[in-house]
Parts: sequence; structure tokens; C-alpha cells
Amino acid sequence: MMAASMENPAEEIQDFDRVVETYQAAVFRFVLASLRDRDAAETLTQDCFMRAYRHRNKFRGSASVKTWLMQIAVNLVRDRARNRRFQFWRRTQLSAVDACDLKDCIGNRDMSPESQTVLNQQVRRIWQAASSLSEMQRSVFLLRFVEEMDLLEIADVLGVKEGTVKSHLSRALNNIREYMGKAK
Amino acid sequence: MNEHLSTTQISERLAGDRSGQNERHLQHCAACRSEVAAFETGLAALGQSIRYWAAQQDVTPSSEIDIRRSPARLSWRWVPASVVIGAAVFLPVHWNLEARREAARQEDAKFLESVDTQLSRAVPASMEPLMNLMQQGKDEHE
Repeated sequence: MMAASMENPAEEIQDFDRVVETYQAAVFRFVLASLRDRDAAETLTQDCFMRAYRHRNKFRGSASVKTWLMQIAVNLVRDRARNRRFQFWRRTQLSAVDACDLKDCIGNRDMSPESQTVLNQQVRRIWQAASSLSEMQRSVFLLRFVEEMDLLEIADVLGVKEGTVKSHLSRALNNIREYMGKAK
Repeated sequence: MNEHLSTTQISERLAGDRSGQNERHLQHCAACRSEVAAFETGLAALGQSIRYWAAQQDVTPSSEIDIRRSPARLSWRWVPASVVIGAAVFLPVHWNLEARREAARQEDAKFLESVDTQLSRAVPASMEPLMNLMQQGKDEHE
């Protein structure tokens, strides 16, 4: 993965099989966390790479391949959310792959069972609160804390200024903390 | 120093804002520092959880994302167009080939005719001037 990302992006995109292999997991993860629907995430991940493949000759390499793929993924998620607004939110509320699946994923053996329980609860509440975010705030939040992208990279993905990203992220965190405060 | 950071200030700090005043407050206020650290831990754990969860969900091997699926899917749509395009290209080429073959046949015929002419002559072509002189002398003699 490191070898791929250190290449010139315009050259890297030519070996498309390798691009798929390298970035498929990240794209799928972002879409899955955004939609919370495994089937939709698989479909949109496929669509993302299909779209990238079709337009690969237009990619000039001014951003990294991951940034470019994430731009496509964000647009696909946004289009889907807009087209299926009602189904999307209903599915989100009823989602079977919700926080209950996340809580067992934290495996820190240095923590006491009590601390782990507290952390599990906190993760569950943040995850629930994240579903209340606007589309833009949710994208910024996931790109920052799941994909661990820095603010400039997120700005490139979303086509906005770094200050705008910071503002959306700050509001997203504020909303999550308020939601958690109310839910207590 | 008596007042703790507000929710907004803590959110800004978590979003990456390292403004001097908030940082100074955090250096001296254990309660705010603890609150920021606890939330940062929660966010890191959420990220870790989602990555782990997605890795478990992602059962599609990369090879199954077949980027060449699109042309295969479209192939049936392209069949009639391919036939028309093929005919448009093949027929003129075919006609052109036929014309060229006919021309070649005619050339061959001409060539064979000339060969026949050459072979049917009584003397070789190289001796023709000499034969002409002989004929001329013979005529003068007569």
C-alpha cells in the first residue's frame, strides 16, 4: 500500500487492478459507515471503481488516488442519500448493523473489563449520535476519525477550504456531544 | 481559569483547533483535559471499531470488482452496431479487393499475351535489328 501511494498518482492509476486492491477496503468502509447498509455499500463501492475506471484517463494526478476515489465515493453517497432520502433514514434508524455490532470490536487487552464497558458504551453513543449529523458533517466526521485523513486532505475530497472543513467538523462534534448529553 | 472550556471550545479543540487560550487552559485544568482526552479516546475507539467492523463485512475479494464488467454487459447492445460497422468496413474493402483482383487478372492477361507475342516471333528480339538490316539489304539487292 505504501509503495502504491508513493508512486506518481497519474502513473499509479494506470495499474487499475492494483488500485482496486489497494483502496477497495477504504472506499467500502467509508460507504458502509455512511450508509450503514452492507449491500448498498458493496454496490456503491463497485460503482465507485467503475466510474474511476471509465474516467481514469482524465485523472491528472493533482491529488492522490485515494483522495480522488473518496471524492467519487462522497458524491455517490450524496446522490444515493438524496435520491432515497426516506428509505435512507428509515434504514438508518432500523439498521441491524448498528452499534450493537460495533461494541465488540474494541479489543484492548490492557483495559479492565469495567473500562472496556465504559468505552463500549461511549462508542455506541457516538455512533448513534453520528446518525443525526447532516450529510456534510457526517462525511467530514468519518473521513477524519475513520479514514484518519487530515483537514487538508478532507478539503480536497470535498472541494472546500480547510477552514470550512474545520468548521463542519467542529459543528459535527458539537452536535454529537449535545446529542450524547441529551441521551444521558 | 475558574470557568471550564465550553462544549463549543472542546469541540473546536477536538476538530484540531490549537488556539493559545484553550491550550493554556488545558495545561492547567485537569477536568477539561480529562474531558478532551476521554472524548478523543472514544473517537479513536470508534474509528478502530468501524475499521474492524468493515473489514469483517467486506467479504468481496478485490478480484470480484471486475472493472471490465462494463464492456461485457454492453456487448449485446453493441452486436447490431458491430454488424453494421463491420459491413460498412468489410464490403467496400471486399469490393475494392475484387476490383483489384480483376485489374490484376487483366494485367496478367496482357502480360501473358505479350509473352505469347514474344515467343511466337521467329527470331529473338535482340536479333531483330540485324534481321531488319538483312531484310533491307535483300530488298536493295532485289
